[in-house]
Amino acid sequence: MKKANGNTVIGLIFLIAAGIIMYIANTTLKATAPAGDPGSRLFPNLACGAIMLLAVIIIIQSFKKPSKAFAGILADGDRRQSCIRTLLILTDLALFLVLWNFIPFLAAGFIFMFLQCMIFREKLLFSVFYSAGVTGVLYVMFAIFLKVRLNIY
Amino acid sequence: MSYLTAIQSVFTPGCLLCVLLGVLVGMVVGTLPGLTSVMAISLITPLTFKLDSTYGFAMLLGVYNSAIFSGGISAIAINTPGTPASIATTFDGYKISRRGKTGFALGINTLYSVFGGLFSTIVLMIACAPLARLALNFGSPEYFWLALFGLCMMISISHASLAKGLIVGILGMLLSTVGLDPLLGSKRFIGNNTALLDGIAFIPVMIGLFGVGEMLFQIFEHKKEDDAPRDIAELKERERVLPTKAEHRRMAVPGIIGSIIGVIVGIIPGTGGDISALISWDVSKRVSRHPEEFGDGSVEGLATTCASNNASIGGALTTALALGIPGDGNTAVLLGALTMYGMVTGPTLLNNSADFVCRLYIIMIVANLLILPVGLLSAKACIKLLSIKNQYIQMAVLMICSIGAYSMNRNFMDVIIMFIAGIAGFFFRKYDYPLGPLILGLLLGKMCETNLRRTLMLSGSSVKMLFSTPISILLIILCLFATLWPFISDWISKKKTAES
Amino acid sequence: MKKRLAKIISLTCAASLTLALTACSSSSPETPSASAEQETEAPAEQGAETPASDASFPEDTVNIICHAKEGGGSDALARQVAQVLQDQQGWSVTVENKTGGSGSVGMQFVQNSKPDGYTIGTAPVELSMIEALGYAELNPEDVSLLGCGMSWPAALYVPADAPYDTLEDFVNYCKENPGKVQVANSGIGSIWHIGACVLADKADIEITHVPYDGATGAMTALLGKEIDAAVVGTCEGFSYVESGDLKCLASFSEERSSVLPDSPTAAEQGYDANVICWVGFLAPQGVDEASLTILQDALKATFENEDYIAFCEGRGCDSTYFSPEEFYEMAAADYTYYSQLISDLGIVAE
Repeated sequence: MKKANGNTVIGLIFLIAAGIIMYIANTTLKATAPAGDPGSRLFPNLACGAIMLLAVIIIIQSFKKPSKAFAGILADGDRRQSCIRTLLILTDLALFLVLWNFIPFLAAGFIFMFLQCMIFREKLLFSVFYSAGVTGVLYVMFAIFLKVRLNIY
Repeated sequence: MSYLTAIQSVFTPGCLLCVLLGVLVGMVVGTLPGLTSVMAISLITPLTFKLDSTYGFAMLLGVYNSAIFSGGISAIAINTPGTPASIATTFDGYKISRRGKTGFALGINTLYSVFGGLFSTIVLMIACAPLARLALNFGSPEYFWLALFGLCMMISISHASLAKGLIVGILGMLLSTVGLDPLLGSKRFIGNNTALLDGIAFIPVMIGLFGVGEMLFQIFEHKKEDDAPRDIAELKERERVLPTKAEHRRMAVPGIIGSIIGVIVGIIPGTGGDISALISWDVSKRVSRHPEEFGDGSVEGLATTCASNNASIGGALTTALALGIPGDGNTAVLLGALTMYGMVTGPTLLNNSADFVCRLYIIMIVANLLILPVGLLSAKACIKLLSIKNQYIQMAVLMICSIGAYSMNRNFMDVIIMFIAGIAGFFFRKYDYPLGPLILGLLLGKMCETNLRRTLMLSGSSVKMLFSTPISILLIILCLFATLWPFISDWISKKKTAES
Repeated sequence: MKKRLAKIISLTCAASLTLALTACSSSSPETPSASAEQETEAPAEQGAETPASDASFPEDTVNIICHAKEGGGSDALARQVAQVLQDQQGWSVTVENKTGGSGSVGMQFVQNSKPDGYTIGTAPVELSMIEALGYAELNPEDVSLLGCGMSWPAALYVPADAPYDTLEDFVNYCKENPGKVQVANSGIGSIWHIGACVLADKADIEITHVPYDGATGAMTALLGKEIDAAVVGTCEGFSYVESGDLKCLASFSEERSSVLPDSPTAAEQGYDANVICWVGFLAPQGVDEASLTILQDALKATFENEDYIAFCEGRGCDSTYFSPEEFYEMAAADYTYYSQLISDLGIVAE
């Protein structure tokens, strides 16, 4: 499949997901309301049907105009670094969201910001101050000024 | 209508101070994504009970106007709307900001938000009661066509590829069906999960798509040249906050269009600044001489959205004051505050509390005027704040987004939704899928479906009711126009080039 | 570079682990000492007449979880009660909104929270209905009820120029046109929907129920004449009766409502329909006796406070106080009645 590219994959994902959702809709939702007018099933079915049709169009279009979204990232050193950096930041964010559930917000937030600074290769002292600063300011704004409780556990 | 006495009671130091305080608090809350204007007003309301009703409402209206205006600040600065009313502001505002003209964009936000607010206050003063009565003509069929008209905008925002725009938009509509069926009460797609009983919360999706997604995209696309020092001419341009006369001339018409649409949509109960800004962006694009700039940093696009969402405040107050029907969550809290002060809300308010209503109008004007200096000064401050290295902003934004998504309802599911939306937003950006339609679908999907099904329920499954009133017919014509115009204008321009 | 990065990562991991351990261990010793304090204070509490100045409970902020969104009646109630508690008792109180599923999300959150007395929530009449509706496994027996101080009855509204002037006329009209009369309510499974069902049940008529988005949605539709009648509360509609836009044919309570003195009750017109929407407060089960008593007493004092009574009067609600026992009786009675009604009508979320 030489011409299959990113857009094709996305089109396929839409197609399959819409199909699954349509199946779930038709098995779990009511077709008509007691009074006879359309029930819960109508809209999801229409939407899934439309998505499947459009997904096919996108797949066809992707063969005509192959996209080069992620082409050549691993070759170019600069782009490869950005790619790895994005993945690391995303992992860091996920880690923060997990940690937030178990330790106080100030600690989780500080670790999150600090790791981000490390991923961006900032100097150690600056990282500590910046992380503490941003976490502290946001804590004051949200938890103290606006009285939103930020500790989840 | 005793305006003179109203002016006398509002222009006292205490009252003006209250308005200023409200404006400042509203600014903080409105700028932070995830904190809505409703939250801001709810927070301030208990404080106002200790005060006289005029002072209390001075604060409340200050918060209301300022929160809607300042939602645009974060929309422009970090592509994350501070409140849903500023979604459309991101379309052009952020692009202008990326070109280094953040202060300029913030200046436009300030000036045109105030313009929209003042315009709608004048409309409110002149025609409050009759306009509110007109709003009662909006029944289920009319709401359906209005929602459909809003959804037709998907076509206009899908600049790259129509199929991509539509698929994302319909995905948004599909996502809006998750939760409880509004007419039958049955669960849709949620199983036994109680966290999703209220549906997929809109604000975390917005924060994830626009904020997190954009930040991830920027980190991914970062090039070494972006970090190079800027030259003197560019630096001077960055400092500019006010538009030139020529730019004002370009922005005048979109500003007025935005204000008018803002007032009209505000009057209709259940629709607010978010929908009015989107519709006015679309309409301004169609009548503009430079439609190709819209979505790519057009000052006209920015001006119209800023005016529109603030203009919706005056519109929402129309139905709230004249009929006791809240136009949106903000006015619902304000009506509650009115009740606390012993006033009976409903059709009798305008007659029984005429003096107080007069004072409300004057307070609205004062609040908008106070936003001018506060907004312009904060624009200057923002320029300084945002001139730090990109990566510092990116790091902080990710944290702000996470906290914002959580603080909305203190429901961790919202943060998870934000995370997933962030990843989706990144891939959508990468593969040129526009984000606007998804937000439109999520916003309007429920209104569209509920009103269509309710109309069918009321008319016994006959579609005649959908076409029976003049407003419905008008909206249908607008829908057809919105859908077909791009194709017609393409065809006309092709004919012209063929002839020449 | 890589070595430095590895060192820093391992340091932060170690730091976060130690923080996590200290956080976990610090939270547990707190509760034994707090409850020991409360036990010694409790005997003194019961004898004292003014509990305001005692420092045992609460030591921290009390959080009221409101099941409805900001701007609504329940939210206003929660904030008003928070304000009075702050002024009268000197407590620190915050209000949070957790909406969804007719109150299921908020009430379940309170039910599952730590029973230390610091998390309480609003308990709407839907507490007696959500189990039957299928939204959540929660009924009045699963929580500790703290007391109720706000209630108001349902009422039937029609446009001012409608052909019927009394409930009798309306019922006759419905009997002549079965299934054709459309009655708006504030949402499927809501108390006003149930109220309309109760009316239909007691008057033996067939009406079509059309759900709208909240009481304001139903009122707007009625004012716009899209619908024949609407059943919402007395609070939500009385201003339109005053202004002459609507007529109230009946209020579903034992006595005439204070804001609708000219509208007879359904009982007066021969139909025994009694539908009251109440909003009280609940706490999770397992809160120790002393804290529970303090909460209940504080709420009682709040409901008897003049600011609070003025608040209720302004909204047109009844501020009669229901003690925890009376509240439980009312909730249980409603639970039995509504469960039967809902299963008979088949309004169950699948």
